Amino acid sequence: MSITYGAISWNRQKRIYDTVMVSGVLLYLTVFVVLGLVARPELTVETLLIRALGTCSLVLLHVVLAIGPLCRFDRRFLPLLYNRRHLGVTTFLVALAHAAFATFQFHAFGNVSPFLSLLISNTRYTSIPDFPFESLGILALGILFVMAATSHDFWLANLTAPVWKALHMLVYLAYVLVVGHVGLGALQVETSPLLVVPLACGVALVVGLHVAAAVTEWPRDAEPTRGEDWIEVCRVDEIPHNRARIATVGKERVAVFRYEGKVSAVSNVCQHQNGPLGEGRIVDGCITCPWHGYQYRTETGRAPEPFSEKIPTFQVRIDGEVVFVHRCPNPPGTFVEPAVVAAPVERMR
Amino acid sequence: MKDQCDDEFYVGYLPRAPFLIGRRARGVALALVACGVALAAVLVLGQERLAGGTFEFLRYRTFVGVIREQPYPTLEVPRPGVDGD
Repeated sequence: MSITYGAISWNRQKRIYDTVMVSGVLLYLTVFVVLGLVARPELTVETLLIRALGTCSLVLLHVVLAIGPLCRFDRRFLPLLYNRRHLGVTTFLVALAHAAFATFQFHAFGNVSPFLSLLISNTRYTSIPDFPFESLGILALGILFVMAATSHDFWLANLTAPVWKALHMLVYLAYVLVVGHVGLGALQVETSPLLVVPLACGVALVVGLHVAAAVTEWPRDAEPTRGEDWIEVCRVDEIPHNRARIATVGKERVAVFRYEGKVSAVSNVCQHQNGPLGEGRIVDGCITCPWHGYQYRTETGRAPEPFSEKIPTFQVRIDGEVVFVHRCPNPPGTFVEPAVVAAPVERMR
Repeated sequence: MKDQCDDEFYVGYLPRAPFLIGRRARGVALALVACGVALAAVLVLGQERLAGGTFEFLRYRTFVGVIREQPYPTLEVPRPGVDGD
């Protein structure tokens, strides 16, 4: 978190993250090229480097896409999510290097511009074996560029969270294009199961994780009661101390937090990147998002000064041991008196 | 172990990750790097061999054949070693 824009707000965790990431990429490229020179001496370093960079960016893209659903299942993966944007930018840079080397090697020695040659040398769009797969790669690279260029919080703040999030959902289109680029390109010539099976497993992993995450999340969006102003959420003792229970109220997910003998309800959606606040904790008296640590005060939904983020709050009351939340959200940042937990219930935990 | 991890809470901008989460993250990172290296080996060994093909950068030779304009400029030459083709 920062109130001013720097290129990158470095901290210890990010340095560790980036060191491991860059080391992993360099190790992958080294193993690919060195082993390739030994096992496939007929291939040049340039060809091996093009293939190493292409496959490396594809592997990175799979990791990027798998982190989100993995975090839905197990919060122990959250450290991988924290700096995922650096992983995304690295994916773009590696893919860009692949495209640059390939364009140079296959299109730079003709009598037309390499970029023009890339676009016009093959126009057989109706053929599967001869499909100009490069066009799919160019489109995917364009999407990855837009995402990398707008990955900074400056753009998140200026484009607004919904627009930024929608823009970055294009990563799924980029993934489809990249799989098409590989399937209609390299795999039309290279038919070894050692290449086809890993790609198929990768696609199955990404699709399977997302489907499983969606199936897991589905019941949460089922509204338990319709037509009533006050929605029964849960019993007080079902909410762990300094944590929340997530409920669907109206058509919105609400995080109901229990802390210091009180209960407050806020929107479950973090203003930063739509993180699930209800999976966060109360840290230093503030609701803390599990994704990037953005914080909000429990009663107002406002970030502590000097930060300015605000989230909607909800009226909350306790009848006996049961927590009710009003279905209508208050405007972001509205103060709501927390419901007080009766002493006997509080002592139970 | 998972329950203990659930009691911990990771905040990326704090100096240190909680012990169990940090340990798990190190394990996951090592596993990812190891998988990446293994995958690099599998993918490089899975490539087709280029039988007799070499990249002759800046080596110029003369060929005789038929130029075809479509779908892209190509010079079709007789297959080496095949008589009368």
